[in-house]
Amino acid sequence: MLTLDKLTIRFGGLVAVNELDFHIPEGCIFGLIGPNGAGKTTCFNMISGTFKPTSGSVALKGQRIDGFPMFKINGLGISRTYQNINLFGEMTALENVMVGQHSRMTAGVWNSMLRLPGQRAEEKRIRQKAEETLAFVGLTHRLNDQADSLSYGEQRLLEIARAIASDPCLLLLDEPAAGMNPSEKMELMHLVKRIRDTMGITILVVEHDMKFVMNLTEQICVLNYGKRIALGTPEEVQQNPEVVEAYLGGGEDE
Amino acid sequence: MNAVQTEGKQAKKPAPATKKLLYILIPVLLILVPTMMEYGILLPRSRYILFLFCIMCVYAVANSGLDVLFGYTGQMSLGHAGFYAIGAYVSVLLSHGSYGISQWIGFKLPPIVSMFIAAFVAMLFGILLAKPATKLVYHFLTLLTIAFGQLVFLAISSFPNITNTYLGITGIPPVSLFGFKFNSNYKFYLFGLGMVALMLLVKRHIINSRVGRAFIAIRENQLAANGCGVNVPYYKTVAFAISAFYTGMAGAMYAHLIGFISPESFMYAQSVIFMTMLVFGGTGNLLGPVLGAMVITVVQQALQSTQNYQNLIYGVFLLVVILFLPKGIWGLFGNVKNLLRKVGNKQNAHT
Repeated sequence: MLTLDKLTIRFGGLVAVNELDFHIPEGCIFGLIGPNGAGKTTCFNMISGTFKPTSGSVALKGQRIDGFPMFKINGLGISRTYQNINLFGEMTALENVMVGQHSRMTAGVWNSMLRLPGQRAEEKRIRQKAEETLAFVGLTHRLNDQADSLSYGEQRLLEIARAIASDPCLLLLDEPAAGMNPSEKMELMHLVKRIRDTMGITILVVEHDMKFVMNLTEQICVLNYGKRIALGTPEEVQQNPEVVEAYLGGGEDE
Repeated sequence: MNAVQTEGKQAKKPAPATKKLLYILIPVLLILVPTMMEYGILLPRSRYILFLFCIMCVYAVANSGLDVLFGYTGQMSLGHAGFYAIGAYVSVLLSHGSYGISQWIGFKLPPIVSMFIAAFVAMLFGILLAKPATKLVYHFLTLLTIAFGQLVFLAISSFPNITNTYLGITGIPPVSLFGFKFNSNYKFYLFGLGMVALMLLVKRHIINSRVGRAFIAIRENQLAANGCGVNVPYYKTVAFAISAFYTGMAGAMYAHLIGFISPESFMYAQSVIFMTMLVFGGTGNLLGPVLGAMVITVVQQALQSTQNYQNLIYGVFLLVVILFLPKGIWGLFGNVKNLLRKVGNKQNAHT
């Protein structure tokens, strides 16, 4: 589904991500972990188009997408959520999810101005899809509430709903469980699995919570100082001495 | 439990009915009252009030346009007097008997056609301005729009052969449609009212669509909008274009209403007045800008005798609104509505 090849980005003298390679197979829940500052979010930002890599390539289904603007990458089927929530605060939950489907719509300015039959039908279809998606994540009761007024956990769910409404082929989740309590984390884990199982969306997740990652993902890539230090199933990664030293073994210092 | 629910539903039902009534009542009043004034049934000698109604229509169109850009898309502009001027001058130069194209090629257009062409020309300038403007944020954007307004002002005041500069252009023909001339204040008012209705309808369609949601998404969170597939520079350009079209149209309406234009009507102060009206009325909705246009027109007239202090009083006005009514007068209506609903709910709960 997604292939990274020698992906590198430099900010001045700092090499934030250094020759990163990995491949995410279709239908996989893939984890990207590493200590703070390892370059996980930077890697995310390169895949989703926020940053342009210095060298190397990102390919989606064999098509190179590195250097494309964000909105185009979204149109090609990559949706994402953010580490710090980025919702449209003054819009309702429903409208947020409708914006999420922007790239699946075709109505332009003239069509909208004149409200032609095609535009109306599309509008109706998109609204229905938004309602279904909100029901899928369990937010039907907050349909017409302002995104600002939702609780923290609900806002996270709404972000996921907005991201999956456009039927992406790849979903990027940037620390989806941050700030959630254990029971919310359990629910989230089931939701993510449900997204993959029922919608067939491949998922790439960055997360700090080790228990969460180990239980959720099928493959993991570990980063440290921008370099890949391990790649494999959760069991393999857990037993890798380099990983234990760099990351998991850090427990006694903290 | 069930009883309470059904009761609640019954209590809610009358609301749409009153809304429907308002939809019929307001247009009827908007036409009936000025008609009564015109024929002396209500407030005889109210010609001047009818003129103010015309001005309100012009400002309502201009403000609705500014609202698309500022209220919905979140892009500040203090250069809309520029679009207003372009609309006015282009329409006049296309339709006047002794200036513009009639002077050059001996041919002129009917005002109703020239107005739309003028608005389109303003729109093109909007797209042109958007080219650099989409890359700027906050005060840099504001400075750019101010510069644009000044440029237009300088242009119209420095070509005596074309715009007659400070002497202005007189004898601008009134708007006519199928041979019917809108040559009195009352008649122009009917025309202006039609234009306001048309422009508001189009605005409503745009806002409640994919395009409008893209605008609001850009205002709320540009990064997330981009991530949702919204082509941010493109939609900002569209917002500039629509906004410029509306304000250009208002400028053309103004020229054909007054029958005289000179650069003084299109100075920086005019941009500030637009912004004041918009903030005062309430941004990001359909009727707030209209309301702002109405109130500020009245205030402007009331303050005419206090010319030196006019700006001071404006300033105080604006401060009070920004401090106490961040959503403008329209927001105040919303507050009252919420309050009524709360009281209603409480009463329902008691019964």
